[in-house]
Amino acid sequence: MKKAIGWAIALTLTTLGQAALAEGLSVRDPWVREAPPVAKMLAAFMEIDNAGLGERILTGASCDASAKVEIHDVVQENGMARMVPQASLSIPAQGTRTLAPGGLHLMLVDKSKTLVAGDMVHCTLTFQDGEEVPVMAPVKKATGSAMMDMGHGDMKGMEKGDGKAMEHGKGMEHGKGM
Amino acid sequence: MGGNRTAFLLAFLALLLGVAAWSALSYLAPAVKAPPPVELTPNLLPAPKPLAPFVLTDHKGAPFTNERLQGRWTFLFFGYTYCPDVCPLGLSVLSEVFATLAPQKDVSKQLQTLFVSVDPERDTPELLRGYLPYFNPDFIGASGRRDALDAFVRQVGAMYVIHKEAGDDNYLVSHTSTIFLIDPQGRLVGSFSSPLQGDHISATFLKIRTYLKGEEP
Repeated sequence: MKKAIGWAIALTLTTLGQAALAEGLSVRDPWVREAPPVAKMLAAFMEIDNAGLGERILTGASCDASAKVEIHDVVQENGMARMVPQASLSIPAQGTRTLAPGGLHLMLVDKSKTLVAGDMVHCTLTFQDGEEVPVMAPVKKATGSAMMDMGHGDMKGMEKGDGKAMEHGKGMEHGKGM
Repeated sequence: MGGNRTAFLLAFLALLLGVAAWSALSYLAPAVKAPPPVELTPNLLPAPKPLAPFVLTDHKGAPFTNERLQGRWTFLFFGYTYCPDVCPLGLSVLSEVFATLAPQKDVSKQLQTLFVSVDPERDTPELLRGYLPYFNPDFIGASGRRDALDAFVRQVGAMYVIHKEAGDDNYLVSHTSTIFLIDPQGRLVGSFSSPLQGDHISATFLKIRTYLKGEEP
């Protein structure tokens, strides 16, 4: 009996929760990784939920900790990590986009102040349809247990890397990532 | 009677030969290395690779050469301090590995982490000096002149690409995100690639250390 009541309450709460978000976008667990004081770049992570029936496109972001924010993805190729700027980011209908260490993140370019764990970074996500979603992201110290969940197989870089050409001064196609 | 004696002599000779063969085999046996445990094969090089002489400059401005690898196990990671995600992540993982192994004094006193910046134009020794202690006060940062750096990167089997446009001070750098392991003889012996996990690296490192110790005379 107790169990049944518990289930009923859980169901009601879940339904209410979903109803409240029915139309829109919401952000879960946003955070900015604490970095050494001399670091120029910061990364922000979060989960973006789209409860709506249509796809939503994130086209940009701004934060009060840096003049510029870029959407980036990390791609692993032959054991090499490559940052790929994204012009936009699709949040599928009734789906979620996860920005997490080792993958998608917002790069806060040239931070404007030193941030330590516990500080709060205020950001605004801008979507293609003009909607703006405010986000309050606490600064957190990351632990080593965070996963770099990409790429497969060890020793790849060693087998294929030896003797490969290194290019200097080549421009990356900013904003053409997607 | 004579036939019996011959038979006895032959048996004796055979026994002698057997003993000799057994002695020879047991003498040679240590040189025949047992294959590594299967679980280690993704992280071990087929054979240790000695590193050719190199000269980098550490975060204190001192030369960092092959000698600094002697007598220590070195975790080697490439990156740059303007790196927003992959490098802080890798260094956090190594910081966790050091914390995990710290209680084992015989192991931890032998460990060092070398972070080699592939972006010497921006990553001066001074900047590395401010960057690395955040992760661990003992982490060593190093970089060098482009030719010296490239020679080192190449012989380790790493790669990097600088994506720089004129006037862009916040350019990105692609680089190998594998953590390399160098043994106390200064030989490249293994690597850990993504997903990097501190507990896995700590445990695997201890097994590699035990396995390679068994190989020494």
